[in-house]
Amino acid sequence: MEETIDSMDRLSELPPFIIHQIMSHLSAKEVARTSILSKSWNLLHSSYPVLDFHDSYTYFVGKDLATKFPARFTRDQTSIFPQRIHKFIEFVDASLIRFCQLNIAMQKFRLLIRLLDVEELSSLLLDKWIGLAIENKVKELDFTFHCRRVIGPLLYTLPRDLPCYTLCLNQSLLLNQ
Amino acid sequence: MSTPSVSVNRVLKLKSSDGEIFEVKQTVAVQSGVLKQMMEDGCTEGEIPLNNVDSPTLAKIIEWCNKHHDNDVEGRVLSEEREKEKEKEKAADMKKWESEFIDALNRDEIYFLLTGSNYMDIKELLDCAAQKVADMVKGKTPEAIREMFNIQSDFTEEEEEAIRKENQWAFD
Repeated sequence: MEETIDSMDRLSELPPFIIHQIMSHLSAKEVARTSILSKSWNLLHSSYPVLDFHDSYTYFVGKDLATKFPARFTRDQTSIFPQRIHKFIEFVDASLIRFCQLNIAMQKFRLLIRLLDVEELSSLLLDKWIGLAIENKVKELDFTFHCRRVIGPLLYTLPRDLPCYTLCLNQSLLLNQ
Repeated sequence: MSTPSVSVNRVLKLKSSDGEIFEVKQTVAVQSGVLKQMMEDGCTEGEIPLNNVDSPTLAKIIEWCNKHHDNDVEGRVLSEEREKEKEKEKAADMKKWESEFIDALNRDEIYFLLTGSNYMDIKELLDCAAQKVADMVKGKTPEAIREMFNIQSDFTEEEEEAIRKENQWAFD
């Protein structure tokens, strides 16, 4: 590719809307990594209105498998899944809180997890995340909670005061209203 | 007031920021949200100044719109099944054309294409150019991204460390 005539940082000068358009083609991880490019990128990252956390689902599957078939995994592998899940949860929590401090409308909140981790996640944390998203006028909520049936049904109850959203339910969700 | 309908034979005269005039069919120009609105409002007489788009960029934008227009209006006399097949082929050809179109551009040209398509409100083109930049960013370390786009870090070491910590999951 031909080099630029001058060495201006043109990319950072683009309007936030265009940068966010670029971010829409990146994974949550890649978007988060742009935060340390510079101060302006840190703000562009914080204000990105799509909070999409679906790409760490493999940790949940990994932890599930390691619980069911411990013999198939080394000790290192078994310990790494819960660590990753823990970091992921911290990341989701920090991202949501940071976005909500900016007081701008949220476009989308997407979460893909396995319900076996509800104990770890705790329903209270899920309530808090959904509450934050709704407070910030989220336009699209997309949750997928997969459920493991071995230890009996695990259920998460959606908050009672959920405004009018179209819900697509599977058996692991219980609507209590 | 003139009728707001789009006529096949009428052309619009677009004037780039550096004063060059481009003629574009109305049926092609509707891909731009801004021009479409102007046509509906009946205010496309004379030259339409596009103050944020220079002539090389406008030429590229028009090339894109012409290509996407041609693709839309080709013959429609095939059986339903054949039609579907043909649609698929066309979509694949278009994808190929789009990636060749965008890959031939340098970084500055992509930058102007992003701002130009945003200004003229041509969503598909904006999205295609945004995808290109995203592909350039993907899989690269922050240091490599900074170098590629000449981004100067204005963080102190401590500040950078704090942000890394806050987003630790993403840096593992």
